[in-house]
Formats: sequence, C-alpha cells, structure tokens
Amino acid sequence: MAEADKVKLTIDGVEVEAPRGSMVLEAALDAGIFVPHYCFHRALSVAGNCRMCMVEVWPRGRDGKPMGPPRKPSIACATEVADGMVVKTKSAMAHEARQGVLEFLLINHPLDCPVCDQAGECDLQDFSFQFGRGESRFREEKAIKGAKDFGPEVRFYGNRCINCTRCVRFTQEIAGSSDLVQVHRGGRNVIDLADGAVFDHPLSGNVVDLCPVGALVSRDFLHKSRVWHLDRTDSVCPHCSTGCNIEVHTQDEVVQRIKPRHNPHVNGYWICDRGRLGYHHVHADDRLTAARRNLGPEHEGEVSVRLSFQEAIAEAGAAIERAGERAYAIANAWLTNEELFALQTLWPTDRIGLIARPPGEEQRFYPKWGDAERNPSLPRQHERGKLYEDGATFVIEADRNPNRTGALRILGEQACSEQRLDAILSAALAGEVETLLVFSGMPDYHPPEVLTGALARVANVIVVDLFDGPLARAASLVLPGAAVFEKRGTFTNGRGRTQRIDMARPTPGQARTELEILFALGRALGRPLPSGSPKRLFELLVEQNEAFAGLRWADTHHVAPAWSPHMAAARKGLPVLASPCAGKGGSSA
Amino acid sequence: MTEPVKVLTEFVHEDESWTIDRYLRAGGYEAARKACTEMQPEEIIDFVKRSGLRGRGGAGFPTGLKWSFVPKDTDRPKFLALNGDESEPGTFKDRLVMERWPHSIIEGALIACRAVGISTVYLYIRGEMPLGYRRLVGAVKEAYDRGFLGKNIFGIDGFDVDMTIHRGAGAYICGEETGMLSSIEGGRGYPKLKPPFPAVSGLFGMPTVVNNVVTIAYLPYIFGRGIEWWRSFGTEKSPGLMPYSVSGHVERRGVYELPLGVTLRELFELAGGWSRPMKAVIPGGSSSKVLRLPDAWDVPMTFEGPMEAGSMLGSAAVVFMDETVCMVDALYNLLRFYEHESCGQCTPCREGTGWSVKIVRRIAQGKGRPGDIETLLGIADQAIGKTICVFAEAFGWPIQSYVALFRDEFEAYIRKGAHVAHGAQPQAAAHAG
Amino acid sequence: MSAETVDKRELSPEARKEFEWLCGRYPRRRAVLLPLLRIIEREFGCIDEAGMALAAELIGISAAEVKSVVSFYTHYKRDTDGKYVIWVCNTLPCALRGARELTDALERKLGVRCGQRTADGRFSLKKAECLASCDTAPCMQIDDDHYDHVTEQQLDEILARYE
Repeated sequence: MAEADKVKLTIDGVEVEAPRGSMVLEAALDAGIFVPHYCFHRALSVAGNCRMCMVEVWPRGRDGKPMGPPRKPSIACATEVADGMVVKTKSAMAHEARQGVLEFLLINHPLDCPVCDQAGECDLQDFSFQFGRGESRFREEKAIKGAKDFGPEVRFYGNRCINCTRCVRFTQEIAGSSDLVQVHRGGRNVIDLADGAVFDHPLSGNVVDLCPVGALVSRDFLHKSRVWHLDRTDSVCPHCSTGCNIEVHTQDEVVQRIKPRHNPHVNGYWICDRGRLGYHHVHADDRLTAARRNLGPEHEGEVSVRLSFQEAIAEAGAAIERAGERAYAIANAWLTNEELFALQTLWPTDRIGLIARPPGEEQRFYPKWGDAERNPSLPRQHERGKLYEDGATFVIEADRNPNRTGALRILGEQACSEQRLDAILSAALAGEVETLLVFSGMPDYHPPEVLTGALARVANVIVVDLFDGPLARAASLVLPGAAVFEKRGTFTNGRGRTQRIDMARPTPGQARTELEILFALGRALGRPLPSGSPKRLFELLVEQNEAFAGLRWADTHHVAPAWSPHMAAARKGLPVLASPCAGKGGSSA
Repeated sequence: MTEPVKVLTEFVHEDESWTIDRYLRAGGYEAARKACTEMQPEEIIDFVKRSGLRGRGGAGFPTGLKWSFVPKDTDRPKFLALNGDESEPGTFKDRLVMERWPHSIIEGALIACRAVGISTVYLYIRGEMPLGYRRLVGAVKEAYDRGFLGKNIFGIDGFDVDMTIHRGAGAYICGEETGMLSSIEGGRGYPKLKPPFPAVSGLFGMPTVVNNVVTIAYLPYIFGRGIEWWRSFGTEKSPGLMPYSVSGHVERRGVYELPLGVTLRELFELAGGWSRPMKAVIPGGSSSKVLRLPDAWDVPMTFEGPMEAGSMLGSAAVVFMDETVCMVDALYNLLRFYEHESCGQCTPCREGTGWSVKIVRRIAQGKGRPGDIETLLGIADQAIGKTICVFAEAFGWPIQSYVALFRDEFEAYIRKGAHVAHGAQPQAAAHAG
Repeated sequence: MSAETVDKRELSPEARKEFEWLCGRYPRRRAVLLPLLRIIEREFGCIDEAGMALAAELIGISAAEVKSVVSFYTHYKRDTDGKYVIWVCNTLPCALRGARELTDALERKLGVRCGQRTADGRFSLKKAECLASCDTAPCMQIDDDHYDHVTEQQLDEILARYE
C-alpha cells in the first residue's frame, strides 16, 4: 500500500499505521489493542449504536500537535483515523463511558447466566467482568420482552438482547433476506420477524454466532453443554465444495456443535445451516462400528459374522488378490486427498470409478441494501461483507461434496467420469467384476438402484461405509469407515484451495479411517504404502502430482480466531486478522 | 418594552391567509424573484451570511455558513430538506406558519435552492398536523400552478424546483435532522452517525441542506427588506426576529413575534402575566434546562442570553410555571415524554430514559429512596454526550436542572412521600396510568 | 413470508395512481413507504398485516421491514385501534393547563382508560405527546380533526360527530 494511503496515529502511546479511511477501532484491533465493542462487526456496516467502544480522541490541531482532551468521548467504530491523531482507549474518560454503557446494558438484562448457553463466550459477561463497575444502582422492575423460536435453528430471548442490530444487519447485508428487524421504539425495541414468518433462511444460524450476548441461541445446541467443557478442532465443512472453514466442538468425544472459522478467502465469517447442523450423522444410530462378513440367504437365521479388523483386511486382501484384473474400486468425493492418493498408489486408476452425492441447487447470497444505506459515506459500507467478485457475500455450491476437485486431480478426469462408473457397473452386471471395493461413507447418500443392482452380480463386494444402509447390506464384506470429523488430511474445494481437516474425535469401535484401511490393505497385498501419515502422504502427493505443486502442509491450515475473532484475539493476546476479503475472495484459490 | 414585530405573523389571523392570492397581495414571491434573478448564487449565500440569520429550529446554526458547506462543483443531486416536524414540547411557531402562512416557506425555499443549486425540496411535516399538511399540499399546488415551482422559475432558464410535502407519522426523533432524513428515506427515524454531516452526505447519501421551516420563511423578508432592517432587531450575534411560543401559566398563550433579545419578563407581560407567583420557566422547549424565577426574569432571549443563565434559546418555546407546580411531577411528565420518544438506537438513551422515568415515577408515587437523586444525576451524566444525536442531552438536561434548582423539593418529596410545592396540585404523576 | 391465510389486497385505481405519482417524486422507491402507508391507512381504514404485506410488495422490501417501520411510528392507525382514535395531549404545557381534567373526562365518558378501546370499537383513547398546540391547551385530535380549548361540556357534542 502506498504511503499516501496510510495514516499514522498514536493509540495508547503506540504509534500505529492504518489505512486511510479505516476506523480507529479497526486500527486498534489490528495493532493488538483491544477495545470492547458489541455492534461493530468487520463484515457488517457500522451502526454505532452500542456505544461500548467509546475512547478519548485528540484530533490533531492546526499546529500539527494533538489538540487537548475532548469534551466528550467518541465511538472508535465510527471515528476515521487521521494523521497525528491521539487515541486513549484506557483513559478515565473512556473507562467511565464504558462503565456507564455496561450499567445501562445490564439494567434490564435478566442476569440469567447460570441457565444461558452463551455463558462463557458472552461479551456482556466478559466485558462486565473486565470493564464493568461490579454493581448496579438499578432498583426498579426490569422490562420483560419474552422469548420465542424464530426458526428451526434460532431461538430468541428478548430479555437478553442488547439491540446491537448485528443480526438485523446480517439478514440485510449478508443473507439479503431482511428477515430480522427491530420493531417498536426506544426501550421497547425488540428483534422480530414479520407476522407469521419463520426464520428458516439457509444462513440463519450465523446470527447465533454474531449475537454478542445470549439473545439468539442455537436450538440445536440448547442446554446441551457448557461452552467451557468444549474441545475445539479446526476442520472444513464437507457438505459442499465451498469448503467452509469450521471448528468442531466436542465434549467427551461427542460432537456438540459446529461453528464457522473465519477465512477471508473461503467463507468469511459464515457457514450455512446445512453445514452447521450436518454433524448428527457422526452419532447416528445406524453407524457401523464393527467389521463383518455378510452371509448369503442359504445361512438361515444368522445373517452375518463379526470379524476383527485384521480378519476383515485379510479377507479383503485375499479377495482383491484373487480377482487380479477383475478387481475394481469405487472411490468417493468425500475421501481426503491423502486417501485418494493412497488408493491411486495401490490401484490402477483405469479400474477406479467415483461416486458422489448428486448436485443440489447453487445458492448465492447478495446484500439487500435498504435503510442500511444510512451511513453511505462511511468507508466501505457496501464492501464490508463482499466475499466474491460479483458482490456475493456467501455461496453454497451446487456440488454437495467436499473433494471432487481433489479426486479429479489425483484419480484423473476419466476415473471421475460418469462413463467410467457406468462402465464398471455394466461390467459388474455382465459378471466381469469379481471383486469390487466400494468406498461410501457419505451422509445422506442414497445409492442409485443401478449401483445396488450391480453389486448383486459381484462375487466379492467390499464396502467401507459409515452406515448400515443399502450398500452395507449388499456387501459380502463390510468395513466401518470414518466420518470427516474423525480424519486428518486435506480437501481441495471447488475453487482449488486445499484445506486441512483435523481429527475432532476418534473413530468409534472398530471403525477406521479410510486411510488406515488402505494402509492395512497395502500391507495385506504386499504393496505397503510409503507411509500411513497423512502429512507424509500429502508431501509425497505434492512431489508427485503437479496440481499440488508447491503446497506445504502448514499452509493448508488457515489459522483464524474464528467465530468471535475479537474476543479470541483478546483472550490470547493475538493480533486480530486484517479486515476480510474485500474482493480478494473471488479470485484467490 | 419591546413591541411585537409582526412579519411572518402579520396576516396569519386573517381568513384564507394561507392562499397564494393573499400572499401575493402582501408582496409575496417578489423578494425571491429579485434575489434569484439579480444575484449570483454565491452572492445569495454571502447575503445570508452577512444577515447573521441563524437557525430557528433549536440549534441556532448560522444559515449561510451551513449552505456554504455543500460542495459546489459536484454533479451529484443535492436536496433541501425542510424541517417541519415541530415536536419539542412547548413549541408551536412552525405549526402556525405552516398552517397559515405557508407560501413564505416556499418562497424562502426558492432562495435557498437558487443559492445552493438545489432542485428538489422535501418538507417534512409532523404526522400530528393534518391541517398543516393539507395547507402545505394546497400551497405547493398553487405554487406549481402559478409557476413558482416547476421548470424555469422566474423565467430563469434551468431554474427548476420541485417540492414534495412528506408527512411524518408520530415520532419526536424525526425532528432531529438526520432522524428526519432517515424517515424521508422510508426507514425508522434513526438519527445517523455524524460525520459525515448532511451537507456532504445527507438525504439518499447526497449533499443536503436541512433548515427549519421558519428559518427559511424569514428569507423572503430579509431579502425583501434588507440586511439593515433585519439587523435592526436583536443583537450583533443574535440579529433578527423570532416567533416565541409562549405557553403554560400566562393569560394569553400564543406565538409572539419579537426581536431576539426580549427578556423573559417582557414575554410574560406581553402574554398578560398570571395571577399567581411564578416559580420557574423553560426558555427554549422542554429539553432546555429549566430556570428559576424570579432569578431569570431579565434573561435576554438571544442565542447567548439563556446560555449564560445556564440554559439555551433552543426553539424559543417559553413555558412558564407558577408556584403550584410540583417540580417532581413536571420532571416526571417530561421524562415520560422522552422515554416514549427515544428511538432506542443508542444504549445510554434507550436504557437511560426508561430507568430515569421509573425512578421519578416511584418518587412521585411516594416511594422515593435516599440515593435516588444521585442515581438520576448519574444517569444523566452517563448519557449526555455519549449518543449518536443530542437526545441524551434532551432528557439529561431536564434531569440535571430540575434536580439542581429544586433539589430541596425532590428531597422533601422523597422524605415525605408527597408534594411540597405551595398549593401543588397533582399534575401528571397521579395520572401515571 | 407471511402466513398464507392473509387476504391479498389491492389499491383502488385512484390510490394506485397516487402511489405511482409519489414514486416519481423520490429518487428511491423506499422513500415512498411512509406516504404509501398513509394511502393504505386511508384505503383500508387501518394498517394491518395484509396492509403491510401490500406495502412490502409495492415497495419491494420484506414484510418484516414494513413492520419495523410501522411499529416505530405511533400515529398510523392499526387494526387494534378503534374506528376513531382520540389523541389527547398530556405533555407538560398541556398538563399545566388542564390536560388531566380533559383526559379524566374522556375516560369517564368513554368508559375506558388511556390506551384502551371502547367496547363497541368506536374509539381508541390515547395520550399524545405534545400536539404542538400548547397555546390552546387542553387540546385533542380525533383522527385528522384538531380540537382546541376543549371543555368537558363540549365532549358529548364532539364525540357525537363520530359515528
């Protein structure tokens, strides 16, 4: 950035450089100086209503020196940086202003932290502790605003709401639906929907993350856990090829919720509700946890024999070896790059096909500027939520699989084509396939009849799956596989960005990751893989496959203090990320 | 004794005073014709600057200076937004002019448009003024019919002005200039963050002049009769005339058009005085700090006078209160108003108005507690200067001044749980509902 | 996304014409919302859910946004209001000059408290916040009609005008 586009100001005695046109609050956060705030959000227009970020600003006078102390504090979120400006975020003026705001915010607040899901990650709780007076002079009756379900995922507790309007601005500026609004006036102000409306927007759950207090909470997570019990693992959402960065929150190895992880090149601050709620399959009742050999109809009574993992691998290896060139494999677009690479190492790609979840509707979201144009000349008001070149703020891709791009790059276009799958299935129907290794393990995947029908004509069907569904039932040998959140590795999203997933919980029972299964098979077949480590395999993939050239394992993990970046940064003492995207997202891959 | 100088109010009590024929008979539209045809835009602005005209809406900002902030060489459309959302309790001067002398506003608007290069005018009138709305709509139609609005006005090629009357719907905050702009834009009447100021980014994000309707209505007279005439009234810093709204405890309430600088005593006497001893006066609308009588009798009603006495001229709405008024009740009445009218955007105002009204209601119900006064003052202190607009001041200043000047009354009320004002009748509190 | 049960409304041709004219008076259609709500209020007697849906459709915004605006302003007649709304000013300058007596008299005559609607649905009685008519207090408005210096004796005659 050119020198002219930068200004120098002093914040708490530290000289700070900030882009011209940016706000004091952004400059402070970028410099690692935390200023508490509620209504401000980097992806939303500036509202300036919570008044929490008040600081003392000494503008530069005509003589070039800072003017004396101001008559009153200013909100850092709407004060533009200027050369020679002096900002004091911890002065008595700023401190008292903040204490006043906190006292006001709490007078009508129910103080129901013991039963509130937000407790532990609540900005009202945290700021009261850090900046509050510790006591209130309020002795009157509190206002009552009630609670209601806004939609399938979002519940609203009016009494806890601080009217920061982040959620309102989100539905207007990101979701483009203007579902949530403020109704009434003054002290009766409350967030609401149109009469009879349901907040079932595909991005609805984001307002829960945005809400700095416990007013908007997740119905899925309602009273399930306390947040301080949660372990957090960085991962990538598998439900479409956008590849949203997420955190998987677990307690005692059970997934409790999914939260978005900020990535300015992929998903901004958001995820869709399908991704947010798309973890329940991990704990599904029909989840496979043991390997087994299915018995044919001639075995009356008994249907299957339970096998140990080793026994199953040995049987599978034998069946594959026996079949020779009559052994085929069907991979899927949910396997990691490392798993696909392992398969490609073990198996000739001309005998590999690919299954995937069928495409859905592509959904692109654009802001809908209504009276949010209230402050149009504040910088970048219309740019703040922009993630894609065309102005889109979020995209749910039609491809409902996380790694089709990886499969294309590793297995090649032919292996991933419809024709190849058709050819394999035709061969199976013609009795030309003796052994078929099928990787399924995709939640909400309904195998087409042509596939299940073909399996019936194959002598040895080895199915690796998550669920005891039609494929597992059609198999002769069943190996329980792993869910995405139980794996380590990388996915390559629809726009070619390779991103890391990490293991949030172990596989249940005898279930193994597909990589472990392939590693064991390699040994059984006498062609051991060079490594069982995803990292090492990734490095080999990078060496051998041009499409991955130059990538480093470390780069696949975008480190972001995600769902509450400012607080996370404050807690860890880390600098907060620069403002999101503004046009970069669309082109970067 | 200062005598009324009837300019805007000269003909308002006549029948049909609102018609264009009556206005033309009084010489209407001649001043604007002269200014627009004979003066360059910069000359008009300079003229207004030299006249010393300051806003009659409440803030008293120099009108010419305000106009000069609008960028000159821009091809973005500019707007004139006229503020007729008169809702400051005690104020009714705008209503009189809008209902009974509306063409002065249209004529003044033409001068402003010519000066600043504006061709679109919106006049925002309170929703609660249906008569004023009808009269203004009628006046605008007349003006179009006679060529005072529309295309090539006064035969000046390209001098086009369109004017639309925009009716509010019941929200005091829309009297705040940017709240009014939000309301015209079709939103909740939320005041906007400043900067940017409307002159740079106002209505629809475009450069906008916001003037009170009475400020604008004076322009034809200043241009018609000259700067010297205008400056022959009032003081150096506060020249000219002001329609004072006089209400409360006086015999003849009403709008008194007088030079700035008239004292509160003179206003009181002009309005016929009152039969009981007087206790207090609000000089500039309910948001201005209350003053004690007799201390304030000689305060001159200029922009500086009430300020030196600890209040402000505001909208020059003078509310007199006699000794029977219980100041706890009076403050309760006003705080109830502010609680009802806070837009609720900013935390300190949304919460502070509600909290303070609860405390004063409790005191008025005889359940005051020691410490209530300090809490009230703390609320005012925590709100003033900490919100997007000056609404925090509007409810904070009454708290500060009623408590400061009549603290003994508040303390005694808290102690005894009842009125202590001399012969006080319950005014509002008993009516809490 | 309003419930399907709401009747679909349409403006009369004259009202439609007025709306179109208004659209030409502002650079953005959204600015026509407040005047449009007045038209809907006049056309249908009040602003109810169906009226808000109509406004949303005509302006091209969500029904929620219309509700947000309607609920911010107190002067629009809502479906919960009586056929006529009586606004009686109670702010300080009026309170000093008999607003309470007038309000009491209205409450007695109508048999309701401020904020309530008469049983026959004819009147809603509401406290107004300063009608900018402090010189003629006590004052009140019934819909678009303003009444100055109102005395209790006049009330019967005034109220009788509203059937």
